[in-house]
Amino acid sequence: MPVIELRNICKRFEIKKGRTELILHPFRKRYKEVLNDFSLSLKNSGIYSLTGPNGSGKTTLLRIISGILYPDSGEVLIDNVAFRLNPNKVFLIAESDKGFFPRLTLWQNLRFFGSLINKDRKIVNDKIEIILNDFELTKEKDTRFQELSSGTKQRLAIARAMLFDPDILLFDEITKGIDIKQQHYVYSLLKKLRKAGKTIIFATHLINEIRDLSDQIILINQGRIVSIGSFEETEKDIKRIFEIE
Amino acid sequence: MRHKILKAINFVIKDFLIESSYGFNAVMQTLGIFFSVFTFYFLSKIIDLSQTPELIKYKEYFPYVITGIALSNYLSVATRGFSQRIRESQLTGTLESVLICGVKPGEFLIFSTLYDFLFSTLRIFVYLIITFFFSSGGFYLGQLHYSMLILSLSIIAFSSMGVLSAGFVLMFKRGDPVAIIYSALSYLFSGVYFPVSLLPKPLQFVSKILPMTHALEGLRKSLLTEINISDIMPQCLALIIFSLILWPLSVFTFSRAVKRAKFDGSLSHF
Repeated sequence: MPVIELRNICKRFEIKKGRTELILHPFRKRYKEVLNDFSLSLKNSGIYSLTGPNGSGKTTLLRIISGILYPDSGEVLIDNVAFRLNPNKVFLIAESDKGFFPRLTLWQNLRFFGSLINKDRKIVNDKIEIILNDFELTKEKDTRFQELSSGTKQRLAIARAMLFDPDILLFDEITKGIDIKQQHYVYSLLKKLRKAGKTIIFATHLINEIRDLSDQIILINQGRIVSIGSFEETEKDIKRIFEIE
Repeated sequence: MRHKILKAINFVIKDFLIESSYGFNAVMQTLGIFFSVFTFYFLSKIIDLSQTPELIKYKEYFPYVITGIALSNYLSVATRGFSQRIRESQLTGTLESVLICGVKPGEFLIFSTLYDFLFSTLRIFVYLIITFFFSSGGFYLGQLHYSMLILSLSIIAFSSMGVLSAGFVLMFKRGDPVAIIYSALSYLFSGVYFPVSLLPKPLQFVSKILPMTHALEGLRKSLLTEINISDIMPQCLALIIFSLILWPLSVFTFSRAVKRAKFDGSLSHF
């Protein structure tokens, strides 16, 4: 039984009109096709890197799998069941700079999000303590979110996901804008999660992440899968798509 | 149900922590009440009630206008609070992150404004306590349960416009005409500062189709005159009818706006 199955997903976005076009053709609509009859089946847990040029549909795909964006047609099946937004099943981690309350401390933010899933205050607090230790966030727990460094925000974003202990984690370019030390910290976290049997899909452009972390690579371009397989199997297509010599 | 209540409490705690992180903001807002109350206290001394017979039953202009101002606090939170919270959460990206955590859009909307309503209730009480000590007529405190009934029905009726306005902000991001027009009309035509009967006849019709007019009339009757429940029944009925008409419309509009935002990916756009 596939962990994730996407069947014939289509998604297009309306292109906003300029002033001239709005006057000349007020009722004409133009669309950009982002995902075009996209199908994918991931049978095993592990780390899947999702790569492709800018605008190839990576973020849209992750948002559709997470349930926060609806496809125009097609369906998302998780464990063979049509998926509706459920943080215990699938959790999307993106844009670590946003999505938290800037005036609340790291601990208060985790406490708030934790309370959304569990009604027992003690269980939530205990879980937060464990997560703070695991993610080496204890020292900064009383620092306001707006005062945290990019790397700490990134770790916090992953830590929040762990409050929900989802089976599938979706990462959208999570190592963008953080230093090498923090990047390696995130890599070791991903490996830990893989060991714990989680399914991880992470969107990335970085060739070292694609090569060193992934069990499988999903290469997409113009809303379609170009190739899927190990680094060796997809390397040729990656170089061709990214025009690497 | 218990989990929903706990979620709501956590939203209130979260908003309290955010507000209190701004130091004296809440204190200054409360102090502002004193300035506004005393301005109207002295202003009321130059108003001759014999010139406006509509006010005679309330004995003084001072408590009359303060009840108007106090209730307009609720109006303001109910009409603008929902859309403001949606916009703030779009700017900080918390709308999407809270929804990803399994909170339904409707829950998010209601829970996010609970703190504002609680703080407004506190402000209303401060207004009324000061007025109680400075007006000669005082309030009919034995009728407070009638006032609470009117306030509760008012929140429901006013909030429907707020939810409608939040749907508008989700779709068009800024410029929210629902709240702007509705608030302006309510302040002018519903008798916040002066009796509706002073308006020209055709404009009095406008005041009748505003929930604020009926809420104010009910609140003033229950606080400032001796009544029994049948005296405020017409106002209660009017507020119930407004709620029955406006709530389905606003819930429908808001859910359409959420669905549309989830289709076009604009939930976190601003």
